[in-house]
This record gives sequence, structure tokens and C-alpha cells, in this order.
Amino acid sequence: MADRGDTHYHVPNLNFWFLLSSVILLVTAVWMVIDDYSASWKEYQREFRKIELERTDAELASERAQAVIAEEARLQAQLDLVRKGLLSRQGEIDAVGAEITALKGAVFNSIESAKKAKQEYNWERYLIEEHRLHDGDPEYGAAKLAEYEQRMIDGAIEQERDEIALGAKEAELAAVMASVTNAEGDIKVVAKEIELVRKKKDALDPDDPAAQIANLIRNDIPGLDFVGPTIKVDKVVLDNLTFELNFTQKVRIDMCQTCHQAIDREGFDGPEGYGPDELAHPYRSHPRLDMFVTAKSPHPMSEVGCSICHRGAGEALDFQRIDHNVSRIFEPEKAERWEEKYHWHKQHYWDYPMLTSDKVEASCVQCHKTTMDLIADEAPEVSEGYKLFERYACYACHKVDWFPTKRKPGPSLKNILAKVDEDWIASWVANPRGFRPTTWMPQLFHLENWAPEQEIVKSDYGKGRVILGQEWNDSAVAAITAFVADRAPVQELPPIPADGDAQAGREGFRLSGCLACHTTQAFDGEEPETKDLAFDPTRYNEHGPNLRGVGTKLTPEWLYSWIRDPAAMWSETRMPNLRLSEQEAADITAYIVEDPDGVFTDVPDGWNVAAVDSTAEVLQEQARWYFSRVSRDELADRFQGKIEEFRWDRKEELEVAVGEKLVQQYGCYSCHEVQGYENAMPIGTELTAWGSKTVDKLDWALLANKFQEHGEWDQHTREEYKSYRENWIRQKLHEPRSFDREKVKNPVERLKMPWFALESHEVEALITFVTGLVDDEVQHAKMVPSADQLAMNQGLQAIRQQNCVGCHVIEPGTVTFRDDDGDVHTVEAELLSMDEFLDAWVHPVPPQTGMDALNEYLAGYEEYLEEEVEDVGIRLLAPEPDVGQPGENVFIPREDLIDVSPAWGGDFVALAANYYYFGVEQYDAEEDAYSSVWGSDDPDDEGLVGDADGEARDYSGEPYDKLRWTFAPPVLYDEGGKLQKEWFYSFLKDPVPLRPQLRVKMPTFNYPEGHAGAIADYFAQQAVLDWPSRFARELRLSLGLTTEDLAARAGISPDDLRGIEAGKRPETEAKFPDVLTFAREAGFSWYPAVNPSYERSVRRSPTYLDGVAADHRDYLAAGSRLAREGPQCFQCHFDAGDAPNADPIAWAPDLALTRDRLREDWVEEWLTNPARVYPGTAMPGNFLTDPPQYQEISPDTSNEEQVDAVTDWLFNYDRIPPRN
Amino acid sequence: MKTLFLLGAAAIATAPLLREGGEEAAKKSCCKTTACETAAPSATLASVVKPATKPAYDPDSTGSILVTALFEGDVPERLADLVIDAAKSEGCSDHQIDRTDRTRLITEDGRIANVVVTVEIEGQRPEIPEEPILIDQRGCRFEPHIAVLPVGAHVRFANSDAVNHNVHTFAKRNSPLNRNIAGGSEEVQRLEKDETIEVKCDIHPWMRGYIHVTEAARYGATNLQGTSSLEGLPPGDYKVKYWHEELGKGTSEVVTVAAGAATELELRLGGEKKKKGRRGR
Repeated sequence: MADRGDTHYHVPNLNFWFLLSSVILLVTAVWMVIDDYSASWKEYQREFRKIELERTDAELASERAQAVIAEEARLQAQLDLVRKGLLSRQGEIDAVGAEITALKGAVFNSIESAKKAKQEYNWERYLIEEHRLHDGDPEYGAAKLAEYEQRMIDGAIEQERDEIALGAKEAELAAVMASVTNAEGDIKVVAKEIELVRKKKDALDPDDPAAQIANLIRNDIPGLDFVGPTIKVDKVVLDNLTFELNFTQKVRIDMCQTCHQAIDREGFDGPEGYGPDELAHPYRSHPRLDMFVTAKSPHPMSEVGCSICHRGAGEALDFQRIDHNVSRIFEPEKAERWEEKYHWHKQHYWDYPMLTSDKVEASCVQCHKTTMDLIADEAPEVSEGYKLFERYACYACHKVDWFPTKRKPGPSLKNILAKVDEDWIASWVANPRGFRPTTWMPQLFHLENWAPEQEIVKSDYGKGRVILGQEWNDSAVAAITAFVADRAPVQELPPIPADGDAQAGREGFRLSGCLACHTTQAFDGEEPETKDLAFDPTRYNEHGPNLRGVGTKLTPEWLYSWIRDPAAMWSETRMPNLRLSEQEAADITAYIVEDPDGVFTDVPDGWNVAAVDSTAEVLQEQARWYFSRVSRDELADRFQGKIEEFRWDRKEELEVAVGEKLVQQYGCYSCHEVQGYENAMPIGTELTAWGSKTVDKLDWALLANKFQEHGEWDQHTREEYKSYRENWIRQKLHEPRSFDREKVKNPVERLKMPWFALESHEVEALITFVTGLVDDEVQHAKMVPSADQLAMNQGLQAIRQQNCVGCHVIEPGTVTFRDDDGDVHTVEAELLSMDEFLDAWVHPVPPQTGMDALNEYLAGYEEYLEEEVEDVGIRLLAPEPDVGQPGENVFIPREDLIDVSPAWGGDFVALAANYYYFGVEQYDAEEDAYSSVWGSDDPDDEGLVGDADGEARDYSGEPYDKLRWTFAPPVLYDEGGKLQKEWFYSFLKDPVPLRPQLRVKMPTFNYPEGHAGAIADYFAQQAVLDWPSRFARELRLSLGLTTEDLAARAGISPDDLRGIEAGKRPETEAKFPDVLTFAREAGFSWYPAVNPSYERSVRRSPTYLDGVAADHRDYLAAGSRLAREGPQCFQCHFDAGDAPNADPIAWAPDLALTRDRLREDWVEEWLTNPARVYPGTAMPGNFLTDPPQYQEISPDTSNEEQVDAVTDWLFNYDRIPPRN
Repeated sequence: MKTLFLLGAAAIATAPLLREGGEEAAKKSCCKTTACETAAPSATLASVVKPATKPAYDPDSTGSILVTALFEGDVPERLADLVIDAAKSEGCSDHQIDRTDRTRLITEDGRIANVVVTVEIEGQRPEIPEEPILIDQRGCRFEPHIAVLPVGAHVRFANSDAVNHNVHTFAKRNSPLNRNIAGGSEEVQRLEKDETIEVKCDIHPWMRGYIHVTEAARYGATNLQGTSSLEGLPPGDYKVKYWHEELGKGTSEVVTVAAGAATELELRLGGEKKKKGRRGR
């Protein structure tokens, strides 16, 4: 265009700019398209499509799929043949087809005329009836109406005839074509198996060229892929789960699945051809789909998303910006790989980086605060942290507002001088681990920020001499000791009323249950000379302190009073009252004090009880710091004794005054009862929301900088170190005073967090737990546990804190093995003892703590007995379809044994049985020989153990199994199904002797509020939860069906049935009703589930009793006679307090307690076959012989009737005169 | 028809039909030995069951091993009699209660009773007796103290006392059994695996017996003279396995058996005890 000259601009110039900007725009647009096209998440999705395609190809190429395809091809060929055959009859078919067409026309016509006839009839009938109504002539038009009716009927008949003719013709055609349709149907059935795979393959890589082009455009052409994108952002919007961003509550949107495409799909975890290398993240499945992500899991992605657990920026689509995180400590290779591949570093604009995989359990805490014990199995790391937090009593100094435990963990100091002397206190405070290396009491003094040679201050306001760390600490320890002693005036304890016998005390110590909670293991770490279980910390006997060396520490009077009644000495102690007699307590006291076994006087090398001296000059300097609000002059006056009420010229008084300040500073009263400080506030930082604290709020001090200065770290390492809160707390826990390093601080401001000597795994567990203490961001989605869950959680907590598991086996261990068919079973079972007849010093029962321990045991057994162990015997403890009934023994070849896992609880069982079987093993170094000793040093008394009736008997020749069942605390399998909850509760509160033969008594516990009820609730609730699994197993055992058969008959999938049998909740909730329905139809009956809220004894109800009385007069009396004269129950059982006429080894519980104590269903099951309920029990099967016994007492009765009668009598025991 | 056999001079068969005569025989033969004068057992101490076809062994083509079990070293003193409270053995009194502790029956010259001896013959399984082997509970003891029987045989637990007993077998490879057996009742069980089973009555704790189930073709237990004869062995080399409830188990040296002859074998038990090793856990 020519320049008309009437513009103020220069057109060529403009053209140039226009061209330029067009080019820029074009380039930008292209760039934009390319950039968008090559976004990393799109690359991932494209890559994932390839993987999927490969997998579908691989699936189609698999043997199974190939077999299907081959079968399909065979059927197809058959079909083709049939079709060919039909071709020759085409004329015939065509003719039939023509006839059908003609008939269809005829049918149409006849239908139409029939319709018409019907309408005409209806119309005429209307007219005629109207007329009849008005005229009153009922006979009007009768003939006409009949005629129309006949026409209508004829029409209908004609229609039916034509239809039949058509049907016949169609059937004729269908018969001809049947071979084809059947063959087509067969093909469909066969191909069904791979249909889904084919469909997927078709979507990914269609054969149809048009679809191929469409796919190509949508997925692969930059700039056009918006048309109908299959590659797109997958997101989940979580309205309830808001989080705080710049002071606003923001809805959480997680887009993680955009890249993690297979996260909710099973099988992307590296099967054949897809090893971890080929199938790395982000293409893998979530490792716990049963727990997370999927819709049927308890944490579906649609409701909880991803970042609520993993943290990180859920809305980002770029590796960096998401703030992915990996631990340099636990996965250093991965960290390096990430750096190389993604240039991974901390995303500085995001405060909450993703949790590293080892710490991800931290997130459980935010929702599961009230069920921390319940989730222990699924979240072991954070649970350990939670338990350590409780055990080391972090809560005592650091407030966590919801933390359930509040008690002061350390012993009361109110009467400490009756227990130990002042020198011992001082030595202990200075170095608790010097006396007991496993103590939970942390070390407070002589740590790095008070190094012995460090100059702390110059005395006298900087004018005096230099005071070193050693002096400062010594004076502090002496001052604290003086203050504690000052606040604990000695209250004299009564003298021990009986002369103790140390030898008898050994037996008392072994059999009263002390070792259920305490060990006496030596601390030097050397293997003990004897394999005495008492020296072994197993799993539950570290509940109380290790008793090694306590004989050097305690006064006998205190020890005696403590053993007799611990709660009287320390109101919050967990040590229960064992209800020992004066003599028993005196014996145990003598055993510990006199120490014939060299256990209680053995202290670690270097432990030396000595007074710790203070220096007046140092104390004065400490007073200057701690009393800094007091004027200099007044302080000087006090030191010189010029002020009457604060005379500090005597060192003792100055020590007490300074000691009090130190106790305040270090918060001793947080853990111990100190007079005057009962309600003092904790001294540590509150940790309720520590995990939400941003890293810039943590005092990193100079540590990292110094590392950099010293050239050990570079800038990047330092910055990264300070970017993660886990690094800070790890350092704090390992070296609590290290953040004082290189700092100049005055003595009252130095860090005071004590050192717990935690092991690395403990530190990591604690980090996990504390990192999980976050602001309550998930208010709306917070898990609301059901009342049952809360009850179970409380019960578990109580069981743990009261250490029920020290004595009782609560759940059996399991054994995993491969059967003859190659199927793997995990069964509840215990290992059988190996050989009881030989006087071999081989422990008869192999350890069930894992394959390593078992193999070690077996190797030793083989070496000692010089015979090969080919198989290992197990005894089933629960019904296991395809394996056997409870009580049956199975021998498993060693190569088929896969794993053994221990029972939950019951460590004391072996200790008690061992004492009867072996006594206490002793080693004579001179003779290099081992011998046994029991409760006497007289060789003639070898093997004798005091019995409950006062006699001493030798049980060392009894079968080990019998001792275990008779003299050890009872197992608590299915205790909720056995006991009436009310009775259980009252028993826990106030135990009555149930098994009088036991030397170990159920102690009287010093329960905190609610614990007894929680324990009873737990067992009842557990019985309810176990019932479906038990029911399904019993059903399958009774019908003798395989999993597949029963599942098919009940209309559920085999996997669901497996889930129910394994006690999994989702499967049970969804599918167990189907199993119940099927069982009812199949006529199967089993004992009903426990009703934990209300149960009644049916057998005591008047209706029931009237019913049985109608059939049999004196029914209950007959039951009583049967029990007394038939199986002769009172040969072994107590009868309303009367002991049976047998040795204590045969004694059994009082039957008068049955009606209050036991559940009817359980008693019936128990009487029917005791060995099925408690495999190994001494209770014989009384009603199992064929033909039934006791016919002379109860003529013509079956075993079932006898069981019924005895059960009825037991539950009406009080209604029958006790003696016949 | 029961065909239970007596073995050795003092051993007494348990078959009820033979019981009376057996006791007579026991008393007679017993008194020849010095040990018996003190032990004077009034009831069966050892019983071995032989196959029904005995004596089918051809004395010309087969030989036998005459086993004598001897104590190695100083013969230990007799164990004290069991202490059985009269009140607690009520109902056992229909029969004289034998209080002998049968754990260790050794004559003064060191002959050990109740040593189970077995010998395997290649390619031969033991014959299974048609009738169940009886273990009776009489006078509150298990009679016999030890029963040796072949794999596949039935055992019949009976109770001849007035009081109830429970038979509690601590079997591992066979099914464990724990049944109350009222006076006059019985329970039969087939034993299918070889093992030694301890049998207890939980009500009367002193009652203890053993069932030795063997796969060996010939088996026996030594009598009060410490001897047992394993017969019907084709000529050849054999090793005798032995087991004693207290003195342990072992295998003899090779014994050569010739047709028509009895080879003597001395087993020495209980000599130097195995050095007590560290107890494995």
C-alpha cells in the first residue's frame, strides 16, 4: 500500500514492526506448544502408555492368553466349517426365511383384526349396558352381544394359531442355525478371559486406521492434542482437607496421579519382565493398596488424597516444585540418582517437603491420636516412636496436649532415704548409666557443654578464680542430692517381721513372677556362662528395671516393704501387688540381699558409690547466678550468715538452696515426685505442633556453619542440612547439648536437655513420631474412631502398660510352610518340644522367634545328639482348613519351613516351666561343669519345688508340656469368648485364686482409671472381631471344601473368602453376610458371636429350666450326679472351695465359679473336646468315647446329651444341694 | 484270639487270659534273682507283643540275638518306692498298689530291665497283630509299664480300677490323646508313626508308662534279668537299636547271625554320661 502521506506513522516501518512482532508471536506460540507438549508429566504419561501397551502385549503373549487364543481359533475354525455346511442348505434356509416373513405378515394381520374385534365388542357392550341401565331390561341385546363376543374370541384364536405357526417356523430355522449360534457363544465364553486385555489394547493401539489417526492426533501432534486429550492432568480435590497458605485456608488439590499413573492399580510392582529397574517410579503401584488409595481401602484417594500423608506440594506438576524428598542417610544412592536425573534439591518456597519414605508413617499421628496402639501393626515405626515417647517420658517435660499418659515415670523421691543413702543418690545423679547401663533415667551432668576442663565462669563476678566444668558439675550434683535429701525426711520403715531364707527366696523369686517384668542380665555384654532365661532380656521382661546389682543399692527394709506392697511406697507405680505372705517377701528379700547366685551384688566395672563433694566457692558462684535478682550486697550478707533466715555461711544450707534452683532448672520433678513440686509445670518446649514448625524457627546455632568453616561441608550441604527439620531433632536426640557448641553462654542459659543414650533406630522412631505432631489441619476429615475401636485401643494400651503379656500368651504365634502341593500356609501354631526323654541339656522347645534362631537351635541339637533333624513338628492352635484341626500335630520337612513368628506374650511361661524342669542352671568354672539348683542347697533336695499344699515335690521328670500347662500362667487365646465380661472386670480389679496349684499368682494391679475395664473390653471386642474368621474356617473344615468351592457356593470370590478367613476387615464387612446365609442354608451351626454389651445365661432362665424339667424331673440333680460319678469332675476340680483329693499338679479351677465366670457357649465347646480349645491341656476329653460312657449313671444318653446336662448343672450349681 | 507272649522269665504277659498264670510265673522266676527279692514286683513290668504267627520262624533257616542289657560302671542304688498317699489313691485299692519306681530297674549285677531293643530286617515290615495291644490301668499303674508295638497296631487303653483315670499320651507324630476312662471303659487308638510316647494319668501323677512304636521287624524289651531274645532273623549282619527311658538310646555294634544259632549281644548303657553341654534355647 502506498504511503498517502496523511498518517503520522511510517508504514514501511510499521510493516517491519508488524512483521517482527508476528514472527515473535509465531515463535512464542510454537515455543508454547512445544513447551506444553514436552511438559515432564506428559512425557511420563506417554511413557506409561508404552508400558501399558507392552504389558498388554506381554499379557496377550502369555501362555494362558495364547492357550485362549488357540482355543478361540479352533472354535472359529469349527464355526467356519459349520457355516460352510449351512451354505449347501442355503435354499432350504431361504425358503424357511420366506415362509417366516409371510407368517410374520399373517401374524400382524391377525393381531390387528383381533384388536379390532375386541374394540368393537367393548363398544357394543358399553352401548348395550347403558341401554339396560336406562330401560331396566336386563336381557336387552343379549344375542348381539354374544355375536360380538364370538367374533372377538375367533380373532384371538386366529392370532394364536398364526403365532404358533410362526414360532414353529422360527424354531425350525433356529434348529438349523443352532450349531452356528452355539459355536459363537462358545467363542465368547472362551474369549471372555482376555476380553478386557483386548479392549485395553484396542484403546491403546487400535487396529482401525481411523481410530489410529484419532489417537495420533490426540496424543502425539503438538498443538492439536487439546482436541480430545487422553493425556491430561489427573487431580483430586479435597474440600475438607484444607491447609494454611499465607494466612488463608486453602482447599487441598492433589495432582500426583498425573505422573503416578499406576498408583491405584495392582500389579505395577515389577513382575516378570518388569523388575524394579525397568519399572521405576512414577510407574509403580502403591505398595499398600489394601490400606491406601483404592476405593475399598480405609484411606481411599478420593477422600484423603496424597499430600495429607506424604506432604509436599500436591498441586505442582514438576518434580522439583512438588518438593520430592529422599533421605541421604537411608537411601544415599537414590539421592544421588535424583540429583543426577532431576537436579533434586530442597524447594525453598515450600515449608513442608515430602516426608522421606522412612518417615512417612509420621502422618498417621494427625488422625490416629486416639488409636495409636491399634495401628501399631500397620505403622510399626511411628508406633515405636510413640511407645518410646511414653517409655522415656518425653511427655513429662515436653507437653503434647493429647498425649494419653500423664503419670510421672520415675520413682517418688519423698522417702528416698529409706531406700538408698545420699552417696548413692549423688553417684546415680552424676552418672545413672554407671550403675545400670540400660536405665531410662537420662544423664544430666558432665555432658559436652560442661566439659570437665572447660572454663565456665570466673568466680565473684569475674574477679575471682576460674571455675572449671568438673567442679561446677560436682557441686551441682552435691547440691541436688542435698536438696532431695532435705525434702525426704527419713520415715522409718518397720523391721522385717520374718527371718528370710535366701534359698527359698530363689524359688520365690523364680515362681512369683518377678522375671515376667524384670531381667537380671549382666551389663558387660558378655555371653553368660549359663543359658538362664533370667539373664536374657527377651521381649517383655524389660518392663521394669534390670535387677542386676540392686542388692548393693537398697536397704532390706525398704525392699521388703516394696515387695509386699509397692503402691504404698509409690502411688503411681506399675509394679503390681503380688500378695506375697510375710515369709515369702522376707525370703525374696534375703535372696536379693544375700545373693547366693552372685546376681544382685554384681555391678558394672567402674561403678563406685562415693560422696560427691561440693566446693563452697563454686556453690557461692552458683548462688550468684541462680539468685541473680538478689542484690550483690545481700548475697554477700547471706554468705557471711548475716541474714538470719538465709544463713548461707554453712555449706549444707547453701547446698540445699542452690540444689532447689537446680531441681527447678532441670525439672527433676517432671519425672519424680518431689515434695513441694507436685504440681509444677513441665520445663521443656511444648511439642504439640512441632511438626508444623517451620525450619527457620528452629535454633540451628552454629553447628552447621562450623562444619562449613572447618571445611567438612560445602555451602550446599550446609543449606540442605538446615532445610529439613528431621536433621535438627536427630542432632538434638543424639547429642542434646551440641547446639551449644562454639557458643559463649552463661551457666544458667546453657542447654539442659539430658542425654538418653538412644540407639539410632530409637532416634529415628522418635523423629517419626515427633514429626507427626502437626497442627490440626484435617479437622473435617479427622478419623472418628468407633466406640469399639476406642475400647480396643485403650485395652491394648492397658495391656502394654500393665505388661499382661509378660505372663500371658494372648495370641498364638504363626508358622509359615509349604505343603506337599506347594501351597503356602500361615497357621497359628506352636513348635512341638523335641525330645523329652533324654537327660539332654537341650531346651525341649525350639525357639519360635524367627528362622535364624530356630536353625541355630536345630544345629546345636544335631551337634549334641549326633542325629539329623529332618522335620520340625508344630501343633495347630486354630482350625486351619486344608491343614487340620486345633490340637493336631503336623511335621514339616525343614526345607518346606518358611517362617516362624513368636506368640504375642507369655515369656514367663517358659521361665516357670523351666524352673520345674531344670531348676536354675549354675556353672562351676573350676570343674567346667553345669549343675542345677532349686530352692535348697542340700543335694538331697535336688529337683524339689514347693507345692501349693506346702509339700515339696520333684517334677523334673514330668513331660515339659505338662509342666507348662500346669504351673505357668494360663494362655488367653480367645479369652473374650471364654469369660463373662463382668466377671473378668471384677477379677482384674480384685483377683481371686483360680488355679490354686500355681505358685505365680495373678497380682493385684495398681491400675490407673479405666484400665481394668479397657482390658475386659478389649478381649470381648477381639472375640467379636475374630468370630467371622473362625466361623468361616469351621464352616469350610466341616464341609471339607476348598476355598474355591466354598467361595463359589457362597457366591463370593475366593480372594474374599481368604480375606475373611484371615480376619481382614473390608472383606469381612462386605462379604461375610453371604457366607452366613450360605451356612444357614447348608444347615451348618456354630456358637454365636460374643455380645460384648449384654449377655445373659440362658441356661439359668426359668423358661429354659421349665422346658428341660418338663422332659426330665430332677434334671439338674441328674446332671450333678453324672458330673460327680461319671467323669468325676471333683477328682481334680475344686468344689466350692474344697480341695480335690489329688496332688496339686492335678488341681483345676473351682466349678462353683463357672456360672459367674464362663460363657455358656465356651463351656459347651470346652466340655465337648477340651484339646480342641486348648491343645495340650491336662483336661481330658470326658465325653468323646464311642459308645458313650457312664450309661449306668445316665442310661441311654449320648455324648451331646451328657455335655448338655453337665453344662446345665454347672450354670445352676447354686441351685443343687452341693453334696449328694 | 489273643496271642500275646511272655518274654523272659520275669516278664508277664498282659493278655487278660494269661494274667493269672503270668503272675504266678513271675513270682516263681523272680525269686531266683537277688534283685527281685527287694523289688518283688507284683505286676507286669515289661511286655512285648509278638506277631500272631509266632512261632512261625523256621529254627533251621533263621537265627536269633540274645540281648543282655548291662549297666556300665557302678550300679546305682535302687530308687526309693513311690510315695502314694492312701487318700489320693482311693479307688485303686481293688488291686494291690505296686509302689516300685520302674524308672530304673537294675539288678545288683547290673542287668537292666525295660530296655527296648529293635532290629530291622531289610525288606521286611513288622507284622501287625490282629488284636489291639492292651495297656491296662490296674492298681493305679499302667500295665505294662512299657509296651512295644509295631507301626499300624492298635492300642487299647482299659481301666480295671474303680476310679477314673485319664489316659494322656504325649504323642507327637501320632495323634495325642487325652481321654477320661471310667472304670470298665476303654479307648482304642491306632498308632501310625514310629516314636516313643510317654503316657500319663493327670489325676494320679505317679502313673507313667511308655509306648514304643517301631518300624523294625523284630522288637522286644529286656526282662528283669536284662535279657531279650530277638528271634526269626535270617542269617546276616544286624545292628540292634536300644532305648531306655532314663539311660538313653543307641545302636549296637554289628552282630552276625547264623542260621539255627543264638548270637549273644551285650549292650552297655548309662556308663559315662554324655558331657553336659550348654543348653540351647
